[in-house]
Amino acid sequence: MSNHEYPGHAIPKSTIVGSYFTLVFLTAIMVGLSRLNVERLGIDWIDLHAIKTCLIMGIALVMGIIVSMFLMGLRYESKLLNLTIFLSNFVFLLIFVLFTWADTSFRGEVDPSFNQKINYTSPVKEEAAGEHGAASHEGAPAQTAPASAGPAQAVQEAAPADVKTVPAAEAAAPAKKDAAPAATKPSAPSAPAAAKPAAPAAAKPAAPAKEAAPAH
Amino acid sequence: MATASTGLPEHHVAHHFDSADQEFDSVKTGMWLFLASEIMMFGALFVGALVFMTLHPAAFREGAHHLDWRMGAINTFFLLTSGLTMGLAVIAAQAGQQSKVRANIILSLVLASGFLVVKTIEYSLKIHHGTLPGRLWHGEGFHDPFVHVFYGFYFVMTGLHGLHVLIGMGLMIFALIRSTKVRFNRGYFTPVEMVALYWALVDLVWVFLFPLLYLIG
Repeated sequence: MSNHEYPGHAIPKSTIVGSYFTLVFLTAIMVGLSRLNVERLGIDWIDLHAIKTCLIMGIALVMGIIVSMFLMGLRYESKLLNLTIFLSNFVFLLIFVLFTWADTSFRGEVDPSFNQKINYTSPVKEEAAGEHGAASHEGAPAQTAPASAGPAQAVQEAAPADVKTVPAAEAAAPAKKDAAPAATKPSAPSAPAAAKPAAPAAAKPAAPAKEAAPAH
Repeated sequence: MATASTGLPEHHVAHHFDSADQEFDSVKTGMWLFLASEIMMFGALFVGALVFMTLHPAAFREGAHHLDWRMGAINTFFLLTSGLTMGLAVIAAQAGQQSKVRANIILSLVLASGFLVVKTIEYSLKIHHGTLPGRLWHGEGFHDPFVHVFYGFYFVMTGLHGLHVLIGMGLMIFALIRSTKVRFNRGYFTPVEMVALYWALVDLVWVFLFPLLYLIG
């Protein structure tokens, strides 16, 4: 509780300046860490990249705590206010993160059909693609035409635009077999009018696509 | 203190409050509840980004590699330093040093403008390269079909944060005007304190945004 002579708290200048320099120092460490090329260390029995990510986000968390404790003065606030903030924010956020993560990370484990029926058209062109490159995906996990099989195969299919069939989810996240439901929604409007006639063309010659890259 | 005797009127506690202390506490509680709702709003976006990152790590990595960490680092410096100057403005307000309050707020405004200038440069580069979300995408040289989703997150999150910077600057101008109308002292420094709190939230969000978008991946 604040004292009853004056409102609020007088946070000492040294605390503010000290937190500032700590924050700048931590930012420098964070940036330095992110510049570190862990692949060059040649250690492969442990995922150094993941450790680096965790360390960077850990430092960000420490910085966040410093900002809220000292710059925002939660350190000096009443227990009641702190509890309100803590419960309404951080605990709720934690529940939010955990439940969402639990939902999206294990999709398709119980019902595999969850991973199918994806009709995703990405606006991202392949590097070597021509004017109307677009990746369309019919979601059949059987057809795997990775990006490498791209341009040549697209020409062979003689679609008006060089549309490639890419099982987008698998190409993007080989580790995860579940497709991204969040991203699969109608980003389809991105396909311009010119790509429309291409869609059935891409759908039909699914057979050559299979030849090019046998199904797993 | 010397400037305290500039003839500015003292603040009077509103009639529905018992004391300055009670007035300040109720304002601060309200402000914190508002800040909590802000954190929840940004929290939803962070959760979205996190889900996207776990589902498509390759897309996230590719997108993050195309952001310039130097610009992000400069902006972090701008925001942290303006957070310091706002903190110093609160201390000056408590001491009744009216001109010091103004100097610190103006310094914060300059730093915040610097942040927005860097952000504008960044955005114009992204627009030039066509790395825009969804159907607006016309970037070249990318591999992952989901990389445009990363830029969706990038623009929404930094855009919303940029809007907060803009609003924060408006609030700083409000505090600046207030400093010419009423005398701050240990008993009344509410406007400066609340603006500083809001600005600290802008800092807090950026402290997580910067590593998430620019550094990991």
